[in-house]
Amino acid sequence: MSEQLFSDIAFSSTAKHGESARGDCFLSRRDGDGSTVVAVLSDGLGSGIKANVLATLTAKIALDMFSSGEDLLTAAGLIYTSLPTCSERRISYATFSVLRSHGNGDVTLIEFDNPPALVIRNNELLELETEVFTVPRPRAAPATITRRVLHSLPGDRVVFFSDGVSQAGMGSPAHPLGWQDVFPYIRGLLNHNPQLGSTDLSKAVLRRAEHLDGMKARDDISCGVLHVRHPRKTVLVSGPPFHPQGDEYLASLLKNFEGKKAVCGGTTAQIIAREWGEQLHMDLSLHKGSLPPMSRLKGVDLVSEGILTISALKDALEHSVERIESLDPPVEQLQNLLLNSDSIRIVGGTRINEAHQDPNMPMELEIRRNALRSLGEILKTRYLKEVELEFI
Amino acid sequence: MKELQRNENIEIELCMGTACHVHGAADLLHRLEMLGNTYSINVSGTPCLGSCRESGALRPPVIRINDRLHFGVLPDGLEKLIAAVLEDDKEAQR
Repeated sequence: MSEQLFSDIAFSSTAKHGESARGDCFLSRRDGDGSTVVAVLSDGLGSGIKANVLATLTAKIALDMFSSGEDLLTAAGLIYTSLPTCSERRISYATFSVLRSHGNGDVTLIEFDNPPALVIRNNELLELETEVFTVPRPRAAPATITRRVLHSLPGDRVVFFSDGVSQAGMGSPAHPLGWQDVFPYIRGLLNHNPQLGSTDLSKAVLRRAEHLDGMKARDDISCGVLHVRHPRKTVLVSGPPFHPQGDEYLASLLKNFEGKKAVCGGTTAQIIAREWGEQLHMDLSLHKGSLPPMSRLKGVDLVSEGILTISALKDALEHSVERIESLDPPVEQLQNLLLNSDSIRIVGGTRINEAHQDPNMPMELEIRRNALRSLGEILKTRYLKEVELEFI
Repeated sequence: MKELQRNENIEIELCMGTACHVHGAADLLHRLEMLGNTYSINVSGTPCLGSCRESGALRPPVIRINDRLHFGVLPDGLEKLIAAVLEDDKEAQR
């Protein structure tokens, strides 16, 4: 796995109160070797489905164009000529913020009409030189697009958001013009927790904006965060090795791994405990929700049941990062562990558990190999993690 | 039915592995918690008792009461089962 700096990107978003579709769209893509990441946030004109179509089209075109290295003016020109025209307002309009994190540490920020992204270094705002471009648009005044380049250092963050954030709370006594100065809140969070990951930071900004809107968002609210950092590594092992001789390999792999460690599977945990000569403890008082409780094993950060927990986690990750309802404790803790990691190694044991082949077992109980493969794919494509999958 | 004595110490190990969980281990745990209000039951959980994974094994959930394994245990029959185990233990000691 790559030892270069990692671009941890996450976003959180909610629709305007009363709308089922978000008028903001966030898309991102990491290239094959994980070194380059492109993320786009677009805010469509208005709210609801119409805004959603405009934002989605804009974000998709921008993602494809900037991922393939197309120049800014060509990409912007294509966006402006491709958008459908609003039948009421007679204009076609969606904002965009494009963030391209290159493998060499440079981060390019291209913005059109969104609130300017905050570039943060050592908990202070970093001023960057801004280039300004003027791009003609059909049936509208020329657009002004800005470009900034950050030569990033480990720890740098870029926080970008839609105007649902900067205008949150507008009209209230505390924020008559909206939450215009977002940075002091972010600085407070970072002072409290300098290691705050992108997922947690974007969620915190979203929740604060919702709070300022009285928990009824008056516009679509979206926040994306890039955190440049040394990769945080995690290994997840699940399932006993096919050959019993593999037990020693698995235990040694886990022992020598430098990073966080998760073991999902009762038998797997027992194998590790036996090979390490450690005691495995299950605390039944932790049993809440619908999954078996977690256990404790010295040297392992998380020990849970296997296939049910992994399937539930996969569903939770597929569903959304923005879900508010609580998850079962093992799923929530495993999700936090993985989403706060950058580089994830998944080791799946392939020994068949005969008890799982019982036709009375739930249909959703997938073959472990498939579940782990799907989990890896979701973490890679949706959450932009570096994922390495190995079956033993 | 033999009634459980309040002062008899009962060691129970409950398998919380996948198959046992799917077949109602959590229900057994809740039942044991209720019985624990009346009787001296020491319940511990284990990630897997390793007794259900072989082909042809008896049905989960698996529970160990005073060192003996029991399969396919239902919450309603738990009190009776524990009483029977204790009775057997006493018989063996005579």
